[in-house]
Amino acid sequence: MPDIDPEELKVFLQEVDEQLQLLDQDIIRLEKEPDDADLIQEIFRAAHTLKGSSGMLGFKKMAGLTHVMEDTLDRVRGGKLAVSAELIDSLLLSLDALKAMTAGLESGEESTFEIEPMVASLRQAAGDEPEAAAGADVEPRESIAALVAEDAEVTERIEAALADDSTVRAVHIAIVKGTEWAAVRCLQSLNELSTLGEVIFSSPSQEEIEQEKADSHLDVIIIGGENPDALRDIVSAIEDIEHVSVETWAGASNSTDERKADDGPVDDEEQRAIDLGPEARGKEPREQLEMAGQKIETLQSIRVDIDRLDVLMNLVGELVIDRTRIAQLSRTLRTQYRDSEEIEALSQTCTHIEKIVDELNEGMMGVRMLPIGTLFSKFPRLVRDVARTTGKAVDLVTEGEGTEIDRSVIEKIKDPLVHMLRNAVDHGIESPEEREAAGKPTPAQVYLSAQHEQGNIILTLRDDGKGIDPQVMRANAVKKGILTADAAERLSDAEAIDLIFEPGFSTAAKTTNVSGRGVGMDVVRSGVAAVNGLVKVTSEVGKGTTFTLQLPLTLATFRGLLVESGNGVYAFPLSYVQETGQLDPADVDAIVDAEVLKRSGDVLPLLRLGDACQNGSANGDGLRDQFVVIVKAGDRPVAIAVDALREQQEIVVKSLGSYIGQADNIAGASILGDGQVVLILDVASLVKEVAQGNRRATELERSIS
Amino acid sequence: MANEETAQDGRHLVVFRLGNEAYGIDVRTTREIFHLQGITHVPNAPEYVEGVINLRGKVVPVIDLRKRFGVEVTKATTDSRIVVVEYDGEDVGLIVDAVEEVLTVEADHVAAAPEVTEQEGTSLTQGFAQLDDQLVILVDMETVLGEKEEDSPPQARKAAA
Repeated sequence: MPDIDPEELKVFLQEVDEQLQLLDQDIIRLEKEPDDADLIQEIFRAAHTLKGSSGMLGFKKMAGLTHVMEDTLDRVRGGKLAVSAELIDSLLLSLDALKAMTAGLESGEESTFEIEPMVASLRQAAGDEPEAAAGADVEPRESIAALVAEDAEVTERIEAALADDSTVRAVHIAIVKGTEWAAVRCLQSLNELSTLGEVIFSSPSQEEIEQEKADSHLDVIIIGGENPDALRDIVSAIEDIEHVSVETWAGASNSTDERKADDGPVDDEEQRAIDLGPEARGKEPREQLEMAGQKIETLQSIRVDIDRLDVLMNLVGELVIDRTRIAQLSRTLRTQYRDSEEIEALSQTCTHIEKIVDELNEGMMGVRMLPIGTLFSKFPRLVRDVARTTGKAVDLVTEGEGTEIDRSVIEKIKDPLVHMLRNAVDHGIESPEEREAAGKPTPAQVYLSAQHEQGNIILTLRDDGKGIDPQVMRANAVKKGILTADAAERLSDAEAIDLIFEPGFSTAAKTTNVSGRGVGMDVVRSGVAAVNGLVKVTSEVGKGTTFTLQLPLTLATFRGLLVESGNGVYAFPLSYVQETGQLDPADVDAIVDAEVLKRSGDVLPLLRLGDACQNGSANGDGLRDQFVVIVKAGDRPVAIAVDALREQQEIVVKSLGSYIGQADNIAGASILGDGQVVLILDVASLVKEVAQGNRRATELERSIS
Repeated sequence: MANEETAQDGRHLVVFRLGNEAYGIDVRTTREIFHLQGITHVPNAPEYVEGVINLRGKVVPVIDLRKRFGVEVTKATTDSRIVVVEYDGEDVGLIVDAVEEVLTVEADHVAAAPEVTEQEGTSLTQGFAQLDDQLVILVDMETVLGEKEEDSPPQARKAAA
């Protein structure tokens, strides 16, 4: 790999990352809106930027491939080439190749990636003859230094000028492709530049330009151009100029590659190619500069290591706990020493600290929040790929991309969402023929949205496919031995559809390479439960299926209900709690080794928290004086008997530490204001255990009553 | 680990008692020592994990070294202590019957653990130190708390936070 400063590489990679992300989205859009000129322009510019920056750092393969992409896109832009599925495929293939090459650079290896297949694919999609596919040796236009090196006279003049303390600058000008006036624009540029200094070299040369040998690039070396902005402005003011960049000729070394690596007196900002886009052309130079300034400013965000954020987050979490403790102490003191001025002052300070800590906590949460669009943006590509391999025609419509959610939640729901989307396209959506036969429009629609709702995020994934047939679900459950025929018959339609989340259940008649990976929707439910979330499904045969995910905004804190059991205090995430109340032993029946609770016409499996947590609770000796918490995490509510109910409060989640790792039924720990450690219940695993054990008992009881 | 680099030189040991035996751990891995109190039991954790405590706002696991070493577990007394050690960047509390003293041991008073136990791969000790009238067993934190032990795989951090 060329010798590159690690910092420079980092900036480059970041930029490439952004451009690739942009291209990914835009190319998918292009397929749907092939006539959107602005869109094509945007894609073209992204490819162009990539070509420029990779070429500048000497990554020839990247530059070569992006050059071919740029060429192809240019023809699309000029209306010479129509957007086809093959073209989009080729562009996406090239993008993948670029991503692979970037990944190679990140790990510090010179890429051994072969770009010829991508180049050939692009050429073919563009309808070119295969022999034109000599893209690998395409050189970006950074060859001016080499040209200069060949010209002894110019080299001499540059050296003389430098020795003389004059400024030597190289001006790179890109002219809008396809313009009939390329030669004129080149000459205009040379003329204008001559007013600011002495033009000693240009490629193509003035003679060549006059012989109409000009193409879309012009490189100029000028002595005495004192102000780089002025050089840029004067050229930008000319019609049909797409892009101007000015560099300082950095000195002694005038061989091709060293020049860029030499940081010397080169001003960073001068090196940055200023591409103002068509909207800026023809405006007053001052305005253009301001726009350039803005453009640079938007790049000014800081990347912070997530580990460092976590450390801060933990510290703030501890502050929140202490805040509660201090507030309690202050109240106690106040009741004890009513008339003390100091105590009064102390309690005022406490109130202030409480406010600050709350704001700090909120701010900290905010820092960890990301718009969910960062996740959604990956899905159009996914849906398109799955649709192409399965021969479906599907439009993905997304909404609510700006909804913010904790990045750790985003990370954890990514896989479940990907899985659900694959399933929706692969199994949910019918083939175009089936849809036509059923009188449904093609392409089919998959709709994904995010919105805030009462401190949660609600994700909705809806398809207009064939829906889930409860009758098929029942039959499958029996066939797979999950339920007996009797039990299956007794399930309501909603319960039957809910079977999709059972382990080992898959509705697809045959697995495909798209979604047949040995995992089913049970992974989705457990994945969502891992973030204290819920997933629900509704479906109508022939109309489609809707999945609803309820997710917490953050994993760091939650509203919890505290309960006592045995010698411990436990916290239920409030999102799972449906209701609480006194337990009447008369409502409890023991059936087949399991207990059930009859409550408002329904029969719920009953779990004694004392048993589940082995905490020595006698569970009220025959369930007298016990309380019940009714939770819902799976398909059915479950009743949990506890010794006492306590207050609700904000719970700061702490890990049990890697030494204990994960204990069954326990999701973590927290510390109360008085310093006591409480355990956070893993409701999903509690409920899973009891639901399986008690399913039969509940069914029996239901059939009796 | 600190244990290894001091094998040559004299080292400072925190000496504590489990049953009738004296054990020693490197003083530098020891964070603090306090009375046995306020342990919250964690269900379904490994048997020798007694629970968790609140150590200045941090949740710290506490393990019963007596169970770990197969020493008879007697009722907690006023001598019982929790010794908090740092291992692999995390604090872990160890329940011991009593903490006796901090000693300096010369290198030539340290003997390696008998080979028989080494070969069985179950040795929880690093060796022994002969001190005046008593034998102090040097605890190997890595095998007591580390991944070498089969039945206590410290799992990947499942922190919900």
